[in-house]
Amino acid sequence: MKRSCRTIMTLLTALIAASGIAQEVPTDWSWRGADLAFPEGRNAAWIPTEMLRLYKVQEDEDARDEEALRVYVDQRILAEADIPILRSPSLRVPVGVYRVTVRMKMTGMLNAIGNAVRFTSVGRLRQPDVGGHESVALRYWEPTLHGYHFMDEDLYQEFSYLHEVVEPDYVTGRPLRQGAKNPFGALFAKADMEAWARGEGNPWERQAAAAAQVAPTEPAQIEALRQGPLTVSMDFLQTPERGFGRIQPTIRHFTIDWLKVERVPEPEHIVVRKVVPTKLLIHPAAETEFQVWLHNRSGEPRQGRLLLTVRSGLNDELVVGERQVELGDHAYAVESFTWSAPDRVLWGCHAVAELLVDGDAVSSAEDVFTVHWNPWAVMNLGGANRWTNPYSRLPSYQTYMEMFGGTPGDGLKPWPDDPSEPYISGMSDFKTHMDVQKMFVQHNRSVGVASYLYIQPANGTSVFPQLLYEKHPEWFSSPLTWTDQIHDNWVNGIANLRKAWHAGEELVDPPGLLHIEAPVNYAVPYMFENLLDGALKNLLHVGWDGIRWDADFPVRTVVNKHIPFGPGSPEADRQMSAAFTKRFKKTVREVLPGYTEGANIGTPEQVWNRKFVDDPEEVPTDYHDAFLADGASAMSEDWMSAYIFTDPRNIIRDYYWGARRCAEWCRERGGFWHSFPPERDSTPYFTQSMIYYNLLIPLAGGSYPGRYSCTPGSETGTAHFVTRFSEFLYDLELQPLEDALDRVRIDADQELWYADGTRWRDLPDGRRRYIIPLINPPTIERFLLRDRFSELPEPLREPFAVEIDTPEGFSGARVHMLTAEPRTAVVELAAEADDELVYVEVPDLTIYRVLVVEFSKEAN
Amino acid sequence: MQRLSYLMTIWLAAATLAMAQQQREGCHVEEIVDQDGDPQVLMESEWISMHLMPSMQSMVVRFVFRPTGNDILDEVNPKFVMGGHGLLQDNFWGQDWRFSEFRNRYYDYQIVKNTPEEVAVRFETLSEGWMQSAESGIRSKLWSNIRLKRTVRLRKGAPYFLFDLELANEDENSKLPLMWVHNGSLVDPVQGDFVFRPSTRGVREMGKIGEIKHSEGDHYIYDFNEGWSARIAPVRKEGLVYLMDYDYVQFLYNSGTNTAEWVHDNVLIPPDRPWKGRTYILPVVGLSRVDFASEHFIIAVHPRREKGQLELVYRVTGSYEQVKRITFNTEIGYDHYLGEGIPDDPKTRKVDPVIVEGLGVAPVEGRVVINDPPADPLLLTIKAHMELPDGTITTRQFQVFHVGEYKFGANIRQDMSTPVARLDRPVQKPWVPMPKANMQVNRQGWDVFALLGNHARLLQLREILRGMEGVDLAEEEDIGYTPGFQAYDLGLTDYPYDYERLFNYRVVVWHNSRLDVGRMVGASVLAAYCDAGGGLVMTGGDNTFAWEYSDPENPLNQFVPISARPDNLYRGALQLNSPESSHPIFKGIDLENLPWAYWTHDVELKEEAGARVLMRVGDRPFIVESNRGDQRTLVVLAAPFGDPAEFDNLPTFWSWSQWPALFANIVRYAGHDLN
Repeated sequence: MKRSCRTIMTLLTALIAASGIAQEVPTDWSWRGADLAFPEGRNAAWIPTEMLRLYKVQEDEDARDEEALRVYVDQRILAEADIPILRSPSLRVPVGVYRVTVRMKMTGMLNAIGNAVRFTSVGRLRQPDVGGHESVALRYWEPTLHGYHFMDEDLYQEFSYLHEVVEPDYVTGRPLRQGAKNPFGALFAKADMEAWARGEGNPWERQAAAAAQVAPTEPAQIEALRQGPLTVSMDFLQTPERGFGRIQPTIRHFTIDWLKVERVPEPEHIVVRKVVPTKLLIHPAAETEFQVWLHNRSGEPRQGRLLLTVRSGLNDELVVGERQVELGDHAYAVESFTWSAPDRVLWGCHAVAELLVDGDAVSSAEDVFTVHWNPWAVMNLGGANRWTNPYSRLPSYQTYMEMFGGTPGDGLKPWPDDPSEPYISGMSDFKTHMDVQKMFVQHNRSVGVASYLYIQPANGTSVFPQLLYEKHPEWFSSPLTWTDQIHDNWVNGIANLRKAWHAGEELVDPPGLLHIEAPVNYAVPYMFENLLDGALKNLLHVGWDGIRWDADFPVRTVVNKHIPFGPGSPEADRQMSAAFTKRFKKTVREVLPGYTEGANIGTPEQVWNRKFVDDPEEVPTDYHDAFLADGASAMSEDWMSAYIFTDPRNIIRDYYWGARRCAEWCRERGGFWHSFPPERDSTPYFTQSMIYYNLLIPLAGGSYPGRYSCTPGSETGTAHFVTRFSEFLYDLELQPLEDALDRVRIDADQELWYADGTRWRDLPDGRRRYIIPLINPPTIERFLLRDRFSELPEPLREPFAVEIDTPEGFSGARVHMLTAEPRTAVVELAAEADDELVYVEVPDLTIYRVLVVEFSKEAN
Repeated sequence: MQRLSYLMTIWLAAATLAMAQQQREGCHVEEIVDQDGDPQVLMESEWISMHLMPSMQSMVVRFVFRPTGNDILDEVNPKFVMGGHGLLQDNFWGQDWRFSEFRNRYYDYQIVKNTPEEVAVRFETLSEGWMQSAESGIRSKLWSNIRLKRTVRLRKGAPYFLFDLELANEDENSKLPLMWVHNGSLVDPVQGDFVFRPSTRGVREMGKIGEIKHSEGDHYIYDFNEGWSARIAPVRKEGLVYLMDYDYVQFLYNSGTNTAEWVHDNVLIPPDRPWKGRTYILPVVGLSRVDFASEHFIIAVHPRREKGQLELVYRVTGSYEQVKRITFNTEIGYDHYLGEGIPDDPKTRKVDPVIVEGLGVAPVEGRVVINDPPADPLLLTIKAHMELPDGTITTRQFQVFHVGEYKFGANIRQDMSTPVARLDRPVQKPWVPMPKANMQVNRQGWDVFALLGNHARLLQLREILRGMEGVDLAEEEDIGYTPGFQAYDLGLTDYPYDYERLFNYRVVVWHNSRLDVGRMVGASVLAAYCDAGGGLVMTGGDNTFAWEYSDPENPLNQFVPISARPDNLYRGALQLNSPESSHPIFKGIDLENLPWAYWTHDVELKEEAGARVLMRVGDRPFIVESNRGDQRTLVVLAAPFGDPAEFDNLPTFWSWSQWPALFANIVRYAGHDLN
């Protein structure tokens, strides 16, 4: 067996270093797989002893040296821990970009997600640039390798990634947009809050300022920072056994021929590393800033023209600015552009920064953001990506932050008696303070994230039902499910919290704060006035963008303890309730014109359940009509149970159909619709079931209030796609295209889903727009049933034809493809069109793309 | 072909193993790892194959009745715990099932029998007793430190399995958990299941062909009249029947057709007497419904009308006790309801006997034809005379309400609420301890137990009692907190079920609570205490005397001088008046300037109780005394509700300077310390 060391360049480097001869720095390194695991015939230290049996050196005639390393998967080990596949020796290299390549083959299932294999270098983990994702599995933000990346079993392929060794941020000046911050569960020491009140910054800013490092000025220090470590590793990642991310191993073994690292030559021009819209969501006519991050490592000073544009719609472009830039060698710079958005809704936009040399763009970077007045229209909680760019990571695209359970007592106490005192959330028993909430909302506004206050209007929480009941038992329909012991715990807990906070002591969680949700009946006149008064004070103090209600304002005609309440009939109850929602919005908007809201009121089951199609039942919709009329959003929490077999939405096709119906039903009333993640788990799992669970919602026209999974075949991910193309998903003018299955025909080797999601609208200039989502459907009928390996649908690798009937009165058309595969982009397709038919070919498809057909009255 | 490789090898190996097991005779138990890598216990007989998962509270996560080969837990995957599926899940009614302390808890286990004739595995855990949710910060003494021992047993040749639940007390005082058994499964993933529950209104069913989740119908059955609950897929004619101990059931519950559940009642567990319950789970094939189930047989009754005749078809399968032959003697009841305003005129008519024999898994059928039958609806009262293998005869009676062509389509009259006929409901007979002969209430010391329903703090009851000389009222020893009624995901924190403990209290203060918060066994124990002369002081509030107890009669009623009346609180300021000033409770009390109540109880005194009004509010009683022998019950109809600002700030009785002394006097008087 050949075990001689083949790391020629590594040895050479070592010899040069030992000799002290200043020679050229090596630019590439290579190792045999067998030598990485068994250097000089010994077991490598990185292989855990209990896993040694998984590593074999195989004779292999297809390997470069007819010998390769085979690493086996053991399901029992993988259930508990990662299995390392390879580790490179640690290198110390100059800053720059390096291409890491491995030659390997596999045995196992192709075209499945199954095992996730991390192939990376230290510092290259794909977590987003920003906070807010700490609690979720970062593996879903990594471009892991899977069975579907292999063309065949037992066939060697090369896999590469680019990795940048770079100086620290305090040298490069990396611009960052902080992500959304949620005050849920946050309470700062009184001294910190007093400092904030004095204008000395919020606690995290002050902490960051204290920890900030200054870029060195001494040449030796600068030089020292121009080198960094580079190692390569590859691991089978642990396979989750439970929950929505559950997946089974699909790979039996990997065979590694060799691993290679090569330095990529620096381009001979300034490089645009990244563009950062400092606000993710801005209102029309608002001002914002873009930061463009540049470097020059070409070996000499460089210059060029830096052009920043904003692209929206299909092909609209606005120039933000253009300027001359110059950078010395080894220099980094951040160029700032201020921009006033036009006074109209642009929906999702691309900010594109290009470096022009002699009029040609030689380097560019882009990112997405949104121009819209209504956060519900573009609601996005971010999601995973598989971004591979060596210079930057993608940020979070979360435009919506909701503080759940933030009020003292929800429907009965939306505003504390003394806002200067800390209190305990009635819904979720965490410690908080009104000014902490204000602090977080100010931060969110500064980065373009809308902040919403959660209130459960239909129930009172904490001690407040008890206190009110004791004064007015007639306002409640039944005795409270509550005890004096629990009441005492709350009263003492709040008092002790305040005492400790004022004394600067540790703030411990009070024990025994059991939960109550006592029903509120808005037939009692006090209830609505109290809610309106308290909620308005809260909105004004904190600066929330709006409220996300957890119900409607229930009105029930009842006789409680011999005293009648309510207008007298179920119909009158509904009308009174609807009138309250109108009055609330009207009153609030008199002082806060930009106020918007959502509510957990769902849609009637008749809308989404197919069993009602043939036997539709009329259900009263007074409240929905009043609530949705001005761009509010209805949330359907019950969609969290679609993963259960007995739920009609468990059938994926019906889920998609139902989602489209819900979105359409809300749109007809002037508002938006959002669904719900399974059992409140918003992790963007990389499994087939969960990919479709969240992807199908925006393709149906609804928003998904969880994190979007990244889809196979996409680097930028669904959250990025949804941000950029919100106009084509959520436009209130869109309506379903009847007989879409007949009007649109697809000639592909396998069935695609498109008819249920096809919508249309007329544009102001007389053109007609069709939106046709093309979905490569899942390989399973139902969510999570027999989806152990996440076996994916076969990708369509060859062009396939799409024919669309031309609507009457039109004679030409242009067709654009909105794609996330491999990156978010608008691509115009060559279309043949006349007054009968539009013919276009889609080049390929992995999971989804969206066609936008715009018919015109002029021939092509 | 690439998808085969080693995975197919594993599947083939598993299939081969399953086939080998299929051929095995008798019973088998084995510790295995399932395809997810989860350790499980495999239990098998010729009839049943199931997996129990120790790390998920030892519930059944796979269940196959081998004659049909149908895994009724496959599609509904119990590993998604929030989906609520899996058989034999433990819960306490005082904990929200989603956040129950037993969710995902690992149960220790031991294979206690492993022979071809019988296999048994015992799973154990110790309860922590949290209120509302795991780690909530408040525990109930009544359901903490209980060792749950679950023994699952399969027997050779037996097409059922046994679930023995033993609850053993590892504390000093008695426990009373509201033990809640939860089962979720799906027999027919295409056409859906129905559920059938016995009740005094007849068998209550839910389900719809073609819907795998159906929610219309009664989810709660409080008027159950037998100890069984069934899930049947009518198209597949396949299902499960659960048989449980009728005497210890509080109510049956089904979350639509998703689950089959019940809450145990009156499960009193003294330290030295574990409670032992047994549930039989019987797979059923060949029946499309269930009208009655017992240890001897399961039956579906199908009345059919044709050509002026009525044919009764009895489809019967075996149960877990052997029977040679059953003779069904049926009496048809009719004319229970002839229309609004027409007097009921129920009549009966006997029917020829029907004999069935050879009971087994497959149903046998018996039928009888009735000429000139009466009109629907019918109440069939059926006596089953069973000849056992040893030749003895045992008899069991059950009733079936047949709606048939009755115009209202259910057991209901024109008012759409009153049943046409009520089926028999046997009185439940749980074990109730008896005090030792000649036990005496301790009137030497001054211990008080306070059962505090909500709002006691407004009456300052704890402070007043602790201010009495000799009274400790220790928070951890002498108080049971309760909302005042039995509530889901909350409950009673303590109750003196042990006579040794209870008789040491001179007085029990019972605040704003229904008489059944300690369940019937608690009321019985307290009645025995009162019978021995224990003092009882009851105070007012929104739960006080607001519910009737007649089914069965609450044993505590005899010591309570006031009749229950729903919704008995009225708003309106009334002043206290007419004190019987010479009564000992007013000793030392300044009765000038009597205060007001904003809310008052409008209740009736029981004539037979010899009640005496010691003080009034308006013209309503405020303080009432009744005596039974030397036992004293004092009732203070004190509902401390109302906003003074809305009543001209009239002084309230609970802020009255004399209130603490007056209430202390009342307690002392009830305890014979003031005469």
